[in-house]
Amino acid sequence: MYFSELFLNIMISFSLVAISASAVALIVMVIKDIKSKELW
Amino acid sequence: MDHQTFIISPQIGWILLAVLSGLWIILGIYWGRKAKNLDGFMLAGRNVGLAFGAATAMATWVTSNTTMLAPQFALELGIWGMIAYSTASFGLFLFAPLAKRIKQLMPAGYTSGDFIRLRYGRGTWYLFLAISIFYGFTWLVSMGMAGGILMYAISGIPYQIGMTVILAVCVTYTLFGGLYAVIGTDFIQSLIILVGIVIVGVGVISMVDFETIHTDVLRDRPMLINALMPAAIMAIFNNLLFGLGEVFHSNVWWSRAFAMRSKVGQKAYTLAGFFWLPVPIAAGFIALTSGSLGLNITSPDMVGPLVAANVLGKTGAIVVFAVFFCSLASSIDSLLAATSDLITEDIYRKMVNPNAGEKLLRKVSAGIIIGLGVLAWAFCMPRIGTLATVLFFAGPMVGSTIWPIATGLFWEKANAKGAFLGMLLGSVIGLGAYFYLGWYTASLIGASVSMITVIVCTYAFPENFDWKTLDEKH
Repeated sequence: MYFSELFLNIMISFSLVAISASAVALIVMVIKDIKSKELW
Repeated sequence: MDHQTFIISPQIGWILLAVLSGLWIILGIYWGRKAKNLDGFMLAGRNVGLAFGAATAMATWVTSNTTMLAPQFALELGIWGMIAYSTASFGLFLFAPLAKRIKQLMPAGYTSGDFIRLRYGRGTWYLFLAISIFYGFTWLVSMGMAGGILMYAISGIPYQIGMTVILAVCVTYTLFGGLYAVIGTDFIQSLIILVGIVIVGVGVISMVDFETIHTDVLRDRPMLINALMPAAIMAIFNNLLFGLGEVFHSNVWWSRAFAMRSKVGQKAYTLAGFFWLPVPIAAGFIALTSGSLGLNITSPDMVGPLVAANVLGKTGAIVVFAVFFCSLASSIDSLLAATSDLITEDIYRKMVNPNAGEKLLRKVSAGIIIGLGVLAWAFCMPRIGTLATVLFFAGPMVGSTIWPIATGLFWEKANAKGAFLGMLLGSVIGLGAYFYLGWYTASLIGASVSMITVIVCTYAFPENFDWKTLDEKH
C-alpha cells in the first residue's frame, strides 16, 4: 500500500467519523440547553 | 449539460423545493415571534446558548461554497486542496477568543462596524464598511448563483427559477424572524448537512474503495496526490488567511458574538471549528472518484453533486438536494440578516438618522433585507464566471482586515493610521497579486502587507486607547 493511499484512507475515514460525532454532540447539547432553560 | 446529470425529474425537484421552502418559512416565522424588539430581531435577544451558538456558526460556515468548492479543490489541487479548504476552520478557532473579548468590551454593541468606528474613527470606518459590504454582497451573489446552478444540475429546474426561489425563501423567513429565525433554522440545517454528508460519503466509499480511487488517480492525474504540488501548498496558506479575514471582519460572525450569552461565545466558536474541520474533506474527496466512475466533468464546481447523484441514484439525489439547499439557506439567511444590520446600524442610524426609534429601525432593516435580496437576484441572473472567481476576488480585501481587527481588540497601542493603511495597501497590493500572480496568492499577500503596515504603524505612532470607549450606550 502506498503511503498516499493510507493517508487518504485515514483522512477520509476520520472525517466521516468526526462528522457523525458532531451531529450526535449537537443533539446532546441542545437537550442539555433545553433542560437547563439556556437554549436562548 | 449532459442530460444524465438530471438525476431527479423537475417534478420531484419542485416538490422538494416546495417542502423545504415551506419548512424554513414556517419555522422562521414560528421562532421569529420571539423577536419583540430591535435586540430580538437583530441579535436574537443577546442570550443564545451553546447548542444553537455552535450550530449556527458551523452551519453558516458550511456554505454552498464548501460543498461545491471543496470537491472542485480536490479535483484541481488534489489531497492538499481538500486540506487547504479545511484550514478555513482556523477562522472559527481563532475567532473564539475574539468573540469572548468582543462581548466583554462591547456588551451593547450591534455590528463589526460599531467596533471599527469607535476604535479607529470615521476614515477607517468608511473603508471598512466598503470592504465589508462588498464582501458580504459578493458572498450573497456567489450563493444565489450556486443555488441556481445546483437546482439545474440535480433536477433540471432552470437556473433563473431555482436561484429566484432560494433567494425569495431566505428573504421571507429572515424578514419575519430576524436572527431568531436565522439561528433556529441554522440548527436544523446543520443537522441535515452533517447527516447528509455522512450518507453521501459512506455511499461513495461503498461503491468505490480507497485502493481503486488511489490507483485511478495515480494513473490519470498523479499531481493530485503529490505532496509537493506548489499551487496546492500556496492554496493552504491562502485559504487559511482568507478564512481568517472572512470571519474576523464579517458582521455575520460579530452579530453571533453579540447574540450569544456571556461565556458561551468562545466555547461555541471553538466547537464550531471542530465540527467544521472535517466537512471539506468529506465533501471534497468524492471528486477524486470521478475518474473511477467514468464521469465527464464539464464544469468543475459541479463535480460534487454530479458524483454524489451518480453514485446514490434517485434516493441519494434527494439527500444531496436537501444538503445543498440547507448549506445555501444557512448562509444566505445569515448574510441577509448581518448585512442588513450593518447597513441599518452603521449607515442609517449612525450617518442618516441618529434619532431613529426602534420601530423605524426595524422597518428600515426589513426594507434593507428585501433590497439586498432583490439586488443579489439581479446580479445572479447572468451567471458570472465560476464560483471561485467570484469569491476569491474578495479574498485580499478581507485578508487585509485581519490585523486591524485582531490588534484593535487586544493592543491598546494599535492606531487608526495602521488600520487604515493596512486595509488600503493590503487590498490594493493583494488585488494586484490576484490579477498578476493568481487567485491563490491574493489573500496571502493582502494579509502580509496589512500585517507589516499595522505593526510598523503601531510602533511608529503608538496610541493609548481607552477600552471603555467601546462600551457605547444607545
